[in-house]
Amino acid sequence: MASETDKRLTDAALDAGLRALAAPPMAADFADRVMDRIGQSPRCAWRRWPRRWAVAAMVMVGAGAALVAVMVRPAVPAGARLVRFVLRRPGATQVALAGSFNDWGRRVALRARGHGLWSVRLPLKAGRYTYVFVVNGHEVIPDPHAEAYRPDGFGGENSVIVVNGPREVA
Amino acid sequence: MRRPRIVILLCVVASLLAPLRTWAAQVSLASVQRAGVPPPRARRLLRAADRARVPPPILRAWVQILADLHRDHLPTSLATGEIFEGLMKGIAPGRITDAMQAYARALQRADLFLQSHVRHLAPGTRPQAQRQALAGLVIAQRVGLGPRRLTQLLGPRRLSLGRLAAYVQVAADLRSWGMGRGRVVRILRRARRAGVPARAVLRLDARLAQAQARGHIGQHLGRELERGLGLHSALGPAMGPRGGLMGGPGGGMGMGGPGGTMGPSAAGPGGMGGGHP
Repeated sequence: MASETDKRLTDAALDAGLRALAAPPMAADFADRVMDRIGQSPRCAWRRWPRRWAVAAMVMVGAGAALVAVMVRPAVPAGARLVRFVLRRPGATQVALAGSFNDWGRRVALRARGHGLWSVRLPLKAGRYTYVFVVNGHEVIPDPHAEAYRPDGFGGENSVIVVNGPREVA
Repeated sequence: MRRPRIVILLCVVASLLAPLRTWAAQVSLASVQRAGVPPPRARRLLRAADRARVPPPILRAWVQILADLHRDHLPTSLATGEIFEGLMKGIAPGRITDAMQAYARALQRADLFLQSHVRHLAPGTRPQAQRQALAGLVIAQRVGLGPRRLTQLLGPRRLSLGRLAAYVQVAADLRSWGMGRGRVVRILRRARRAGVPARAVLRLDARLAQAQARGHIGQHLGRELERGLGLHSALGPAMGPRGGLMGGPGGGMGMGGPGGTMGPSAAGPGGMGGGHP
């Protein structure tokens, strides 16, 4: 049996019906006591702060973090300096660096910088090093902008880089 | 019925794979060490050869070349470096053998040259500077500066190891920048006779290298070199108060520091190929 009815209620009938409902038992000073409690309760610390100060603090923290990120360089071993190797090679899918700085051991991958530019920074100690770029895993080429070149004994050429200039000799 | 088939299949696979694993294993670590290669380097050599599938006869030939060098008290580290370089570049093992044989011959010639042109060469010992000088002499031979040319350049008198190595290095650099052999020998011989210290020659070489990397010299290389060495001056090489060439920081004979023709600012950090102090 459905409880709903299709009978339309007028506003007056609705009002009369609501008035007829029994009001819940409530003390006369209930509202005053509630307002007192609200006044006595401690407010959260962050709520006490004006919002604009919070925003300013966050901006300052962000700026500090950015500054630290810019200022702090990668760890460089003692006696070494960071040397940047750059190759412009549009169309290359990967470029690596191999050389005497690690006794022709593991290749060092260069990172794509856009517009066909590849670069990597290596910490190197003072001295002369020979190196080549390995393009796409198999093509071995010398640096077109190297300081000097040396025949590698296999029919190719190595590039030369001098780090920290010439050493003092007698 | 099924099990024998699997066994046969495994045997076939094992027989196919066995040669691959034993390629490098046929040359023992001890034999490489006996050739004068330190244990870590010997292990690395065998690993690299194994990875590159170098056939055992070729690996044995490499070890034999190393052993011959060791017997002649020549540094094996330079020759093993050649092997690592060749393997890194993907050179065929046979070509690496040829290159090593040529390298060994060049090293022996370099050693003879060093013994006849350097003062106070301790026999049997190969300190770092001596090794570098030998490597420089091998490179000089590759760029066409054999013992005869180098004797013309360095003169008959014995030099200190550092002085000889510096002149040889600069000569090789000049050749790599396209200067003719005769001109290299003439200019550097004049500088040596004029008493230009090795330190000054190397400093000038470094500046020229930076300028060359940026394409600032080109055909004026010889002129810049002579100016830097003070060879155009009527008074001979312009010597500074400490025996060095004028032209350090503050300017001088054309190859000065800031304000000179090519100072350090011409090739600061971040240039193509790497920064330089």
